[in-house]
Amino acid sequence: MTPDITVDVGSPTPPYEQIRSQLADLVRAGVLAEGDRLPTMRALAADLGIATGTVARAYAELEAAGLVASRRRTGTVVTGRPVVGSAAETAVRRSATLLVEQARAAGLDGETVLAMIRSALATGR
Amino acid sequence: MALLPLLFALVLALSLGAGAAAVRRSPVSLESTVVAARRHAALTAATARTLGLVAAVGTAVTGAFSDGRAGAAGLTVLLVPVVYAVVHTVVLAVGELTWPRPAGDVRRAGLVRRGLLDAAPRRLLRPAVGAAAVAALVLVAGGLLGGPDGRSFTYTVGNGGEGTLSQSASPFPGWFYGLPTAAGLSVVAALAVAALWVVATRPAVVTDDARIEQALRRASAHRVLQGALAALLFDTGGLLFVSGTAMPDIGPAWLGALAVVLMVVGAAMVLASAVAAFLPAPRVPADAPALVG
Repeated sequence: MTPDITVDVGSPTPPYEQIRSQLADLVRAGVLAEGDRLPTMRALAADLGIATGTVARAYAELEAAGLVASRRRTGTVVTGRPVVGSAAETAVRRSATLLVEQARAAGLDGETVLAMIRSALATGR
Repeated sequence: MALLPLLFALVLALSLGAGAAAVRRSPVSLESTVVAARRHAALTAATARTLGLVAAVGTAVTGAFSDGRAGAAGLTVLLVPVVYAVVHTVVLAVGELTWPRPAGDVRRAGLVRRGLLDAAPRRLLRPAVGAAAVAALVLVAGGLLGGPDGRSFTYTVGNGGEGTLSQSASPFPGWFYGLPTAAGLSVVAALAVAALWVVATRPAVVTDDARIEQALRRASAHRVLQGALAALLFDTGGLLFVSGTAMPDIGPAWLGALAVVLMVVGAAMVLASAVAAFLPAPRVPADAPALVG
């Protein structure tokens, strides 16, 4: 299944930073493997309805961090390797995957699921 | 009289189109983004076909080369599908450029990389590439075999001495017909590639079912390819048919057999062009069961 990224253009966090952080998380979690090709800057910008320069800045920062590389023939590809987390982190990640599968089966959209998680985080403090 | 095959193909195409529209209905979606995208696609496709047909009929009726020159009617017949394909492809490209944009504060995108031909249905892409190769072959061979006037073919039996027989026939797809056709089909091919690029890079439809997004993009590429394929098949088939009629009845028996083969293949390609022009686009799948609830 193809991973998604979400950008909230009303958020105080700049869109390029939202893209950068989500892509970095996907690489570190191993969802994006070494050698995977990312969408072209133009295509990702079109899909998100934002400027191409915004995606270009996110890609440039990821490249500076050594997580992706821009190649003339193949475009932008993942070069970073997943970070091996603790057993507890792996278990939480597995639970998150199960939650997403359960939410999709129930017909809930991503925003509703995120709202539930935010609510759970707020009440669990 | 020269326009009769064209009118026949047009009537056949309209009948096929009406029939296809009646039987190919995709299921209704509950997602507003999918509904908007499908409405836009249907409007664009109908506009492209209508404007393409109006331009084609206009070209046939007015006769772009109706200046009294010999072969003018033949050039008009060859130009009509080119005009249809050009208008059809340009309207589709404009439709893709004005595809529904992402809206709202929160936008989502799949990390999928789309190549130029990823969405192009193979059942149209392969025939289009094949037809382009056959068209190039027919145009070059016709040009080389044609007479100095570019629209006749002369066959000679003997070595030029006593008893030498010579027979000429016209029309024949020499450079007179070949060069304008090659120019027109090259424009169609270039526009089709550009439109496919626009299809590949347009915004994705926001949907929880990736199959729907892929089907919508495949349908867009299908519409682009079918216009170009129809023009390629019609012009190439027409040239093959005409070259068959120009084969002489003197000379070896295989020449007569070749004439029949050229005419049959040419007529089949013209008929195939009408089928290609109105081949129904791939259906958009129904919503995933989870969405339907």
